[in-house]
Amino acid sequence: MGDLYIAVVCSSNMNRSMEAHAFLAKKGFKVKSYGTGEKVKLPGASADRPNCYEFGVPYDDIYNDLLEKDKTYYTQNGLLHMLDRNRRIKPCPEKFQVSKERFDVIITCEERVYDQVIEWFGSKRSIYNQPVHVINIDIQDNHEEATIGAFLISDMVTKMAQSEDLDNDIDELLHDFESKCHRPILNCIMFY
Amino acid sequence: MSSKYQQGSNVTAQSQLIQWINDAGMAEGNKKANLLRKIIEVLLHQAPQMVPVYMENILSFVSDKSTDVKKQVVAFIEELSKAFPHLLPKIIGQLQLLVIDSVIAVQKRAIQAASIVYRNVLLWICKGNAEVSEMQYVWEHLTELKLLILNMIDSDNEGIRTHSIKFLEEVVLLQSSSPSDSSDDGFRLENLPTHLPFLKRNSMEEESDHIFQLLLKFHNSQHISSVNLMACMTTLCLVAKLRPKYLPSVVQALGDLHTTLPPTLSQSQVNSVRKHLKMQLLILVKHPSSNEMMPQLTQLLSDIGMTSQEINKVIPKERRNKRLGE
Repeated sequence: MGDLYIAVVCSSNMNRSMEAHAFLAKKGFKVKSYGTGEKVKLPGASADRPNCYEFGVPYDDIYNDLLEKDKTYYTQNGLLHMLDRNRRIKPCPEKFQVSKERFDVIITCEERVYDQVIEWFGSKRSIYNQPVHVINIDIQDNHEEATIGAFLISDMVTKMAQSEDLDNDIDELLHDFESKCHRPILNCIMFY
Repeated sequence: MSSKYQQGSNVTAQSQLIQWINDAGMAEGNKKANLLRKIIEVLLHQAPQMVPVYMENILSFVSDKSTDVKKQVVAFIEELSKAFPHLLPKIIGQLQLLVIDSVIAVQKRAIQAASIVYRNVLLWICKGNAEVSEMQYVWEHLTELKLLILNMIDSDNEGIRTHSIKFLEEVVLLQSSSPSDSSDDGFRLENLPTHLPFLKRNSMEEESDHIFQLLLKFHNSQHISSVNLMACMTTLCLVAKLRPKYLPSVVQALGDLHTTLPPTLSQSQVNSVRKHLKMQLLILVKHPSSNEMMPQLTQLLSDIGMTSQEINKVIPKERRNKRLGE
């Protein structure tokens, strides 16, 4: 299964999914990343005033917008650095629900995102009857946790890629992984 | 002008095809699979009139050593069944071979294709353009194929079992009548010709009932894995949505599952299964066909720990009002 096609999904396709995307891509995996939220949300000057963008607005534009708004503040809280990293990986945040791709494995970074992915599959009939494993690992939405999360996801995907028959091994593989990473895992199989 | 141009491009496509087919004969593994992918792409989309000439060259790779090559042959059969259904008598036997291939990955890809081919065969029969003997030949092969996959629900391999669940879901849906006027992707059981001696609607519906019962039994078996339990749960809920006659049995099965989960599941698998149960119930509650069973469904949602406020939130507004009026 060296050619596993992986999707990493968080809410805004900014931090957790992009950290894992970068990590997996560096290791040579075939990977894409997405967000399931209504909008791309980034912290703003205060908690009740986040910066919101549509999916599809380039990371570069968001970078310039924040640079213009408050260069010092957004440099200090790491957002500009994160956006700079993102724009080197791909042009813009992408919404999971409009993607036409068919993956072998979808990894979500929080339970609410997992729910949205399952709901999306539940809202339509499968056409190709192609199965996909959907797996959730809870990762808090901050820089440090995103880094740890990317390591964990990479470990898990590496084990999956080593399996000669992932469908047959997944139960055991996730069970072992869970006891090593000490984080609860949710998983199921859906069909494209 | 345009026909001349078309002729020219056909000649180019044809000479390219011959070149690739020769190269594929000499190549191995990945290289062969990539050549085959290109051959199929060009043949189907740029030179479809050449399909009858070159299809045998592609189908002959059915017993190739490479898994990827055989998966390409499956994809080709799947495409042909849709775009060139009159060729079904020539490809159905090959699909049968691929379903029982020695490589699990090929088997799974073939089972996946089988449900698509199943639908396309029924659509082809409905059109009624073919000879009765040809239709009978294809149907008999398809019936054998179905029996093969039906037995695979007890396979030792997890993935094979998952794929057979999905195939059986398709058979149940195709062989039962839809309550709405809208057809499911172009096929309705009611449109099947009645004059064909080998094809009886009643027995098809009986078989659908039988397979549905089999899926119920599989869903509530004690030694099912968590992944297949969830795959089967999704299948049963979809069947319940599209064929409401099955709804009461499905709600009963979900209730039984809630009270007795398989003892072999780990704590985390229990969490995944319980979550899946809740998600599937919510999808079911939101669907109009679940109206009749709303009291049982809301009871089940409350049993799994949802508050009445949460339940009320998920029930569509118009049906919530109806409930209050009752």
